[in-house]
Amino acid sequence: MANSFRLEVMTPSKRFYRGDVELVIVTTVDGDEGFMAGHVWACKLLEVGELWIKEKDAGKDEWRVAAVAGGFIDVKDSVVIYTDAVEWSEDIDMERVLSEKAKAEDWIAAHAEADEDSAEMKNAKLILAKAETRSNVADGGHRH
Amino acid sequence: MATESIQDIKRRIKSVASTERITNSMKLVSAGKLRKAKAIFEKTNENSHYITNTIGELFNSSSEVPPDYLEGSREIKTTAYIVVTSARGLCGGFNTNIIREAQREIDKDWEPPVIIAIGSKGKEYFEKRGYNVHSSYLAPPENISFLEAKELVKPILEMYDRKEIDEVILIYTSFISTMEQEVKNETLLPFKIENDPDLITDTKFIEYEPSVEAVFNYLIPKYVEMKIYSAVVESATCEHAARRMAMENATDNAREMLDTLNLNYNRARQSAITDEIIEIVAGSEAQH
Repeated sequence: MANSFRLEVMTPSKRFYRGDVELVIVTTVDGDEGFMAGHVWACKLLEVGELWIKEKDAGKDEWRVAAVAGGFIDVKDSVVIYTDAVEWSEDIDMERVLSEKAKAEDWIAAHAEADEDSAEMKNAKLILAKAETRSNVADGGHRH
Repeated sequence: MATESIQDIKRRIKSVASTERITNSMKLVSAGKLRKAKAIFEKTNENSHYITNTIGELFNSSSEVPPDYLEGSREIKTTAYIVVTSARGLCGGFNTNIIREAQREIDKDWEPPVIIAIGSKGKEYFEKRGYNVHSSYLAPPENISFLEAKELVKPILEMYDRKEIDEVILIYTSFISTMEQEVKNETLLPFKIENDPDLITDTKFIEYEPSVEAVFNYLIPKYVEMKIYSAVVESATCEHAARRMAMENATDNAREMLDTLNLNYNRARQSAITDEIIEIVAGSEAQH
């Protein structure tokens, strides 16, 4: 059994998760990255992406999966993830996700010639990315 | 008062009694809202402590912090004040205390301030006095979401980056207990590093990704957002506590008044009866 460490996932309004885990995988700005006990101290920014948690004493393929809307991870002797929003895969409301996704896609299609770097375009793409991540996570995530 | 007619006293009793009923039910409503707000506040408070602590630690452990956000990086001329008041009245000295503190801070400055009002009471006050209210959030503060707080913060940071403002001060009511609240003013930007020797000797190598600068540029707005969000939540809790207290006092006063009025009413009624008896007795004696 691998060593475990304390993981906390916080949002502005509540503590989303606290527990002892063996491995946590997050999407940093450079791609997916896993953290295990004894990792060098780090502080990294997270992209919109998936959060995979392997809890202490969990079986080989037992993961808890959540969708994260960006944030940052603070790795010390224990690990804390701060994010604006996070949702377990089983709590995701697919209807809402799909309607948000359709809205963002429509907007991008309608403003195809708009400036790539404009705030609205970035925002629409962010909403799209969030929706896509959430629908992926609801399907079990890309690792399945 | 004894000279008042029974009719007048009766009318006053009626009006005070209905006021008492209103204040009493407002007290009960506030007590319920307070309980709800307090639960949210306690959670937010805990989380914001974590976040601010982490940021403080990061500032302490790195020498590569972008200097723009640090104290002493520029001369302070224009100050932005974020004043958190309530959207509704009838909460005792709650808004007055906040506004008095804000006014005192503003009077110290030479340059005209930039005011960001959360809650309509602050906005009304400063607009009436001809100040420039840059932006405001007018919905009842207890319902603010983190996203809305974020929207509020965005223009503030943009102005700071453009050097239109050099300092951001947050003025809000801090919750001590249901009986006691305190007005607090806190400087959000520039960030003041408290050089805590314990933290510095304790530093280990920390990996930053993509870069120290990027991490800080992410954390600074987060810190301000978090601070403002938790201040609004805290202030909403205080508002309910203050209103509950104010309404409790009003109810107590009304009851006291009712007691005296009832006494006066009975006295007046009694003396009217006595007068009548005297008249009857006098009349019957005259017939003898």
